[in-house]
Amino acid sequence: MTSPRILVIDDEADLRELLELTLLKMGLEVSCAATLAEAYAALDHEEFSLVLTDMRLPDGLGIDLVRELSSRPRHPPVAVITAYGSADNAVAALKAGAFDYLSKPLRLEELRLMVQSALP
Amino acid sequence: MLNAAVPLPRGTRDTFWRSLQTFGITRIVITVLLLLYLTYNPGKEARTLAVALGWELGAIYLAAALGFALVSLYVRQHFMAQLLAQLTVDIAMITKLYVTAGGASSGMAILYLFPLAGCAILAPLVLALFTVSVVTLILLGESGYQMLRSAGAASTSQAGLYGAAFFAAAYMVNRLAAHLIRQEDLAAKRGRELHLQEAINRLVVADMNEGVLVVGPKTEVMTGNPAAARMLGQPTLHTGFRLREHAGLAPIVQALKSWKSGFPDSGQVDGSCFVMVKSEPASGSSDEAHGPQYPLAAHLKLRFMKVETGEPNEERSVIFMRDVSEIENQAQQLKLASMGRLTASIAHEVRNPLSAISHAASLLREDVVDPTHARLLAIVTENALRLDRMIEDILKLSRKAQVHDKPLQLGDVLDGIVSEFCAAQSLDPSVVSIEDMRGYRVHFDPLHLREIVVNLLSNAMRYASGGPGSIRVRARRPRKGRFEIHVQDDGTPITPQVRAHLFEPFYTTSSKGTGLGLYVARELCLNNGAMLDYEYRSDPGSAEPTGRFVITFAN
Repeated sequence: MTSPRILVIDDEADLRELLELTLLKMGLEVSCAATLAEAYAALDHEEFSLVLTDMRLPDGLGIDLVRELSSRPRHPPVAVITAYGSADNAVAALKAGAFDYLSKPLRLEELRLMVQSALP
Repeated sequence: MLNAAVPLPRGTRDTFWRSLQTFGITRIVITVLLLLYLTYNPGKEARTLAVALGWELGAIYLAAALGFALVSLYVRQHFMAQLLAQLTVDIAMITKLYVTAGGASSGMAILYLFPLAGCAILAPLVLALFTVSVVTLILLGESGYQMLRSAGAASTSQAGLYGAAFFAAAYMVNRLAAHLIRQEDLAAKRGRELHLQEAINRLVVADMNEGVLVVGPKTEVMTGNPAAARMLGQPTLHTGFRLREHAGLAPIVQALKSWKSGFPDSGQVDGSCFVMVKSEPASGSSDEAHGPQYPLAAHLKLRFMKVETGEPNEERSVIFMRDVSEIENQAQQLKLASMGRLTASIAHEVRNPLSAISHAASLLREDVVDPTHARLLAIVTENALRLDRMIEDILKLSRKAQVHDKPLQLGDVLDGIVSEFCAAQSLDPSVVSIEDMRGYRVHFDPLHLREIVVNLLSNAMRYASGGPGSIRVRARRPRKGRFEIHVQDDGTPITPQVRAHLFEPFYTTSSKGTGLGLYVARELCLNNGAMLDYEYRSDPGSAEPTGRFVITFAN
């Protein structure tokens, strides 16, 4: 049985790498994307158990990805990471169909709990 | 000198009418005296004269004198016509008397001096000299006639002398009168200019937005304009109002005192400063009527000037006051708008690297076994979190620009905030003693109020002993239309030195604080039309004032 695969989308290389490291330590497989375009390309080729996306990306907003995936018949759960920590952003993401949200700076325990709850 | 062709100013005309009236009254007096002389003088000459003149003529002249006086008193027009008519009748009557009495030898010529002097005062020089000429011709004519009748026994020399004397007197009186009239004209003109200037000054001072206050040595208000009254929180400035008798105006008195203490040495006679004046807390109901009444407080820019009176006991200082509260509000809005844009960028740009630091440190800590390394990583994480709290505080400032205020039942809201706070901080609920505030309503953004109260409670928690009731939340209503919440702890009170910087951004006495909490709380209060300050107040039943945070609501 293969490990669940998670797509991490963040334009900041360091943050992307840290998320990747954390998830790898949890025994999960990880794919990374720096833009929405790269993310859509990865989603077309692979099956993911969870998508973790930053809110602000160079070619759009994380919430756009949430809306796009929600409109598809079969889609992985999407969790957004917001830098603002404001309730408004989180509420908007949840309304658009996000599975959950995390605020920066990320706390390891919160991240792990969220990932575990998203996986089957 | 009167010039009929040029309309004289009103003040001068009044003078001329008054002179004409005096002229008229003098005529009545002279006529009455003359009639009495003719009636009661036992001398033969007088009796002969009286018979020759006839009583009817005397009565007619007296009636004419009364008529002239009344006309000049009540009909103030055709001045020249009135004067000429009076002169004509006077000269005719005196001539009749003069001729009847026997001409130059009778001594009656002196009576001409009365109309001639009046004419010299009231008429132009030419007319005055013309009148003198007519009188002189009459005198000479009468003398000539007597010479012809008595064939040389009479002479014209006396008549000539009278004439010359009349000319000299008329000229002199006329010149003196002209000089006096010019002086009076000038004084009247200056008076009108001064009056006009005073009226303009009053209008300008009353209408100007800048408050102007003149105070004496004991800070008693001598005078002030409506703007000054408004800035002092008074409906009007009544005399005897003393600045130093009102606690709310103490900052003005202090500023005045320090300015005064400066100028004897430095020679500086004007100075300026900023002060914040507040409504007085009610110490007794009788004082409330005269104490300053503001919605909340006013921020004033004061400028002082010394008036040089030359007398040490009559010292006067002028205080110019400008209310800069409105300008500050506008500046505040501008500041918020620009800060909002800046903080949104900071949040994104700073939080990403911060997130990376704390994330990396957390990951590393999981694998580190060396306690020193673990401690160092803990320091990294703690400081990253502290930086994050600072950013969160700055973000609150940018979010506060939008106020969603609504009527709040303070009792319910505060109870909720305090119990949530105790739960979040794992604090025993008995530590915070909160007064029953049911029935108090304020207009406020509920999220902002929560932020402010939590901030003050966190601050109190840091310094309180932690015993039951060591943090107190109290409601006070200093007077109608005002409402306050006091938050106080039993820790060491804040010293006035610290208090001066308490609300400055990034000022903190705690190594764990961000230095933004109280600043944000005050800004949030201002945005909701309230005020937050640290004050030293006495509680009922205790004379010693103690420090506490006071939120003042305007509604």
